[in-house]
Amino acid sequence: MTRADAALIGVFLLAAAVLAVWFAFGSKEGRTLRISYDGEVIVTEALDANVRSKSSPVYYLFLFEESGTTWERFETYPEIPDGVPYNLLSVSGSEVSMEAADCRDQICVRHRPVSAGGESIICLPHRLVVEMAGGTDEAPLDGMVK
Amino acid sequence: MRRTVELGFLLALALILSYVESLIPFSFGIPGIKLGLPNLIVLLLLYDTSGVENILAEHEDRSGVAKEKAFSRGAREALMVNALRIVLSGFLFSNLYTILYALSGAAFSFLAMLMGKKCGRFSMIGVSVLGGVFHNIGQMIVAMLVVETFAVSYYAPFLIVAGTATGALLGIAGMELVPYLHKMGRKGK
Repeated sequence: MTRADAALIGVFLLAAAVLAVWFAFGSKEGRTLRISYDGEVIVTEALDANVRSKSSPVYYLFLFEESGTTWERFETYPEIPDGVPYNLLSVSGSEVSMEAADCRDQICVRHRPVSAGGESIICLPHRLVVEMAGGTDEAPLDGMVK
Repeated sequence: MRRTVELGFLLALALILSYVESLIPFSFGIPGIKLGLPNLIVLLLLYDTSGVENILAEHEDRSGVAKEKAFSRGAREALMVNALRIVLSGFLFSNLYTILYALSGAAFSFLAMLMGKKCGRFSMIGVSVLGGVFHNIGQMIVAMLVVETFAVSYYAPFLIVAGTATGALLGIAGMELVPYLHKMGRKGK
């Protein structure tokens, strides 16, 4: 290992640390759930950050049919139609996770639940992006007071 | 002709490494982080002097001209083997989407490693770290373009750290392996 190697590793680790700190301060709490498909926002929901219980999750079912993409909100675990590409998202309190999907890589399903601002779950095969937008986005003062 | 056989052998090895990697449940809940085992083959090819012609050239001429030639040939071979590896392993173990991401990551990674090696200041570890980090950054950029969002950039710090760590590990492994490849090449001669 040369000195240049060590310097390079140092630079990368420092860059990662700076970025991590920057992201951490950039958006404190995720208050808004924002879901977009193919770059367009299709769902926005304000989440109650105080509710952390897993007792009553709500579900979002996204169906990617050839005629177009549709979504629906459910209070109970929905029935998933056969043969239609889908993503099933569950929201319990301020914690959001991808419950199920029929995409091949299953990366979004294995993704850990997200709750903090800036975090996201992305299903690349279905081009579905689930984002936790910081509550500070729309109302910076409010975010500080809270 | 002999070199073709050697490259075929290395391609098979890279494919096996792809397969082994697809078997390891190596998940941190963050997409895109993996060991990158097949990159070991690319790295070795970049540094490979085991080919008979390379060794002959090295013996005949120490002025550096032959070395330079051997290097650009190594780069060409590394690129070829890796592209074939990605397409083959893509069709064998995953799908077209994966091939697209893997190719873009590999392209970034390869360019970074090539430049890192050419500048001559880094050892195999540094070159491999460059490859690891730029592989992840390249894939992240393509993911951003596909889903048209910057949300993906949230992963950047994790991906940089992971790329550095796996890159360093592979670099160390590569350094250990080079002497053996040398030996193999000499025996064949």
